[in-house]
Amino acid sequence: MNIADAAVEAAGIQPGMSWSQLHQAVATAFGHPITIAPTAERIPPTITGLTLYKKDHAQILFKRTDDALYSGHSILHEFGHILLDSFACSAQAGAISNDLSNGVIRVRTRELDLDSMDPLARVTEDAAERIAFLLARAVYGRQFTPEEMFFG
Amino acid sequence: MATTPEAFSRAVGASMRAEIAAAGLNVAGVAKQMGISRPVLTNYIAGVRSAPISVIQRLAEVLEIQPDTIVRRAQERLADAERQAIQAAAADAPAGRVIKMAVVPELPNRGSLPRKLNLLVAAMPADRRTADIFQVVQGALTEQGIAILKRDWEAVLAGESVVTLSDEALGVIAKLFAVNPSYLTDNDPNLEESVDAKLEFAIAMHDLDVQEVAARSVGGLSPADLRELTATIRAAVHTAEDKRASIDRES
Repeated sequence: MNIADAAVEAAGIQPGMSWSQLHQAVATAFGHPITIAPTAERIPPTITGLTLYKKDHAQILFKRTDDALYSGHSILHEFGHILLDSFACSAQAGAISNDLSNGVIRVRTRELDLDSMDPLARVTEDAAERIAFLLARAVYGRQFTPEEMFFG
Repeated sequence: MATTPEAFSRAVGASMRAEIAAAGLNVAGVAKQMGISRPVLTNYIAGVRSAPISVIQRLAEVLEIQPDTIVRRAQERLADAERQAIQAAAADAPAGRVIKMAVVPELPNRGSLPRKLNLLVAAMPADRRTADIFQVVQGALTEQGIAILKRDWEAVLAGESVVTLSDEALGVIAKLFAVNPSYLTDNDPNLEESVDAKLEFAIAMHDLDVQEVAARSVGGLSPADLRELTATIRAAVHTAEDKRASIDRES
């Protein structure tokens, strides 16, 4: 089992969950509340998703102007990183941009230009993307009864 | 190096004597104008007794200068004396161990240095800011054989210093704060804009108690983008806090 599947299983993510149940399951795995909010202000066009980690909670921001499907995927991807961090303490595996951090705040930028990503960050990014897929299947995928699984 | 009250009194006395001489007057004449005896004024000037504020104020009136001029110049005397002591100690330092002063006479391109240094200090994480920032800076400089006085550091930060920090000292400080040394030593507007935006971002995150930011980005962030992001995060965090406060009130 790869780390993405293991993180999803450890969080108790089940097929057929509602968004609310999924949100609660990820927050439980994280150990703190997670708020999700559209931003009233404009996020620079190069940013597609943003998570703020505070001492006692996390805040996922998405663009108010983005299409719901795109925003939904961005949120699931951020859930993926939170589950990875919670499951494997993989925070260290994130790409830490020394340039942006200046040593003054821990800032992880997940650069989607794969040519410039370091290999470890790429693995983390791939895992988060796989979790996003697994979570999407849990909340959006058609659910079959055991009989339907075989007979449709 | 802590200044003893006796040393400070002597420095104030020396400053009083220098200001009297600069005004082209003598001690006896000034004492008369001040309405005190010459021996009393001589004791203050010699640092035998500490001059009270009322005496400094009266002397300043007679000399037609601001009272704080006397105290400020006394502080400058003390700083000079400490620098000389450090330089004297440097002469006795073991071979190969060079001690230099962090401050040098004013240099070009230093106009924005106080603002930049204050930004760097403000951008320090809370756990490092609890320590005396001067001690952190002094420690880093000392490791490189560079000496700095606290009053020089504070004066440079306040933009009130007649001296500035050397390129070498700024290089050490830049390394300590993980910024490009040219940010402190030069006036490259592009570099300034870029680093300023990053530092302002970090300061905002500290203000908001944000410990980490994870952002998915499909390209680089310009300084303008970063400032926009800073404003967005500020607004989002404040909105979330307002909502939580509202929920707390309702419950």
